[in-house]
Amino acid sequence: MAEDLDLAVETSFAPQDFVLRIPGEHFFCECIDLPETLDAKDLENHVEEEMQRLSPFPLAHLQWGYHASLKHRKALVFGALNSKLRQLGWENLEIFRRVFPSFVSLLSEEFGNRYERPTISFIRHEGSLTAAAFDSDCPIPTQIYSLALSEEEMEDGTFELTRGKLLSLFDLDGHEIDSRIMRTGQAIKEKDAYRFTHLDEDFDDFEEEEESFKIDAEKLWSSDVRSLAFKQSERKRRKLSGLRWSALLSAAAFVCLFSLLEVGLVFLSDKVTLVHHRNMYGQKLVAEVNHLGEVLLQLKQNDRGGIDPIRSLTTVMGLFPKKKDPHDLQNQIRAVHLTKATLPFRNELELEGEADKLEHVTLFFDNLEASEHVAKLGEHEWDPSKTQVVIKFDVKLTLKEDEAQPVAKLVSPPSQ
Amino acid sequence: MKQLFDKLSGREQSLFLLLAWCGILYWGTASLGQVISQYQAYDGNATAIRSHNEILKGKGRIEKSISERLIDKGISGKTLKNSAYAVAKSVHNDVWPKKHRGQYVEVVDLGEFYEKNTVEIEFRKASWDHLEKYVNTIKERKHMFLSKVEIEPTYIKGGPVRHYTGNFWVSALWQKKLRRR
Repeated sequence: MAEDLDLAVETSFAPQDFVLRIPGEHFFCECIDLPETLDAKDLENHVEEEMQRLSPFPLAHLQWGYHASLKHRKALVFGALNSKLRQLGWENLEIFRRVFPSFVSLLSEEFGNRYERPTISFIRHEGSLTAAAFDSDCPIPTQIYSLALSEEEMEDGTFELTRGKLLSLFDLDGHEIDSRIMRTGQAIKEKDAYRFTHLDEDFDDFEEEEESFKIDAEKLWSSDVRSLAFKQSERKRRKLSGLRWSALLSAAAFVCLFSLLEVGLVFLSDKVTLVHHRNMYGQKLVAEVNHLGEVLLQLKQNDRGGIDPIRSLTTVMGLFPKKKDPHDLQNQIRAVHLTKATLPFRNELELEGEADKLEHVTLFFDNLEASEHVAKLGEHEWDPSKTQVVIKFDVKLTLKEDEAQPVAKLVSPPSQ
Repeated sequence: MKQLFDKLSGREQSLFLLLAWCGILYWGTASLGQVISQYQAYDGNATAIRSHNEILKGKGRIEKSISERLIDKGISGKTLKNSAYAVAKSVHNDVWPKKHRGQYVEVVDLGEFYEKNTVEIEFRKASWDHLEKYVNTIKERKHMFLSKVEIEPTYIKGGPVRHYTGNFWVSALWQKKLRRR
């Protein structure tokens, strides 16, 4: 009865976590053969049709389920009347995690395959005794019968009478009888399966677990006796709920990860600040070395006489193109005028000048390129504006060293 | 935590997750961006420091080369200032220091041992001969050398050069600390 539910925890009962096992005597059971051509996707429809054929009541009045094996081409169908279950106190089955008949643990493949010869096995669930007949090497029971224990049997703890009644329903010639009577223990939800425990009746006082069986959680949906529509929506709801929970866990994991990242950032930013300061200090030192390098270069140039603007400009101005003097056509004057000359190092010049014609400027550039005195002609350009009277230009160049110039020898330092 | 989460309806759970993930993505993107930029900054600075170290390896060699050329302590900024100006004045009358007379020495610190002093002398309305004479005189002076020269000619309209403006940066090294040879 519903009020006799064996509650594992009396103080906090959460039905959504509870696996309800309804005593087997309220179910009728039939084992059916499955056609050889039946596919897994057509299994449910076929079983539904068979159930409709076997049941004296419309399916809408039943809480039914099935357990099938396509490999062995057999299925066990079972059902109980809604009205009867309501009378017994199970008004709302939708609040529970799963709802099975009490003999559900017999449906595990591990249990069903244990017998080498056809065997009748017994299992007791609270006040209900179930007998199941198994063929050799077939996990689907061919027959299942359940009866409620009498009050005397419940008080005495014996069930020989009910056992005898059940045995009378089987063909005993074709079956062996398993002398052990197992009692159902807990039904525990594990990751992707349910684990059902069987306790040995003889060790009642010690609650010693004799054996346990796992059944895949997905496969057990077919054995859940609630309506198909409810099961579909519930599976969908649980799947979404699982996804949301996974998303929450992932979010929590990322929060932890990013928190660690933030902590790491604090250390990293300290390191970056330190390295930045070292870089700044290094830049200062490098600037000193660069200045030293420039000074050394200038000192080395000084060995040859240092910056010589007179020699350099005389050489360059000799390359200025010439034109006829408008005041005296017999004479020629420079066609290009120098406006500014900068000499940053020996033999290096940066010139700015102007001419009245572009061809004079280009001729000057050509002269520089062709000159044997010029080691390198750098950037050179002219002002492209056509409205100006004069064409301005600027050019950077490096003259060749005058090898004829004597090089000053280093004087040995005085001994200290 | 699961019990608390399960107390929310499906819609509330979805909304909560949406907000949480938006926040996490925003935070994560910002954090990752910071990590990347910090790492790039670190890497950039580390690379710069490595290149600095390579350059600094040559410092001793350069200082040694300079010390081989600088027989004595060199001349101080004050001496340089006075000498360069005096030489310029002897060559041409129209000579100006670039800045106020007492403040036109540019000092460049060259590390532990040396400093480079530079004065800028401007020749106004000078002839080519003035410029040539000044250059030759500076060449003869011990310790002093030209570190930069700028010359700007001024032309008679449509004609030849009238005069020159010449800027001479005269430098000298000063050994502020004796270097062990």
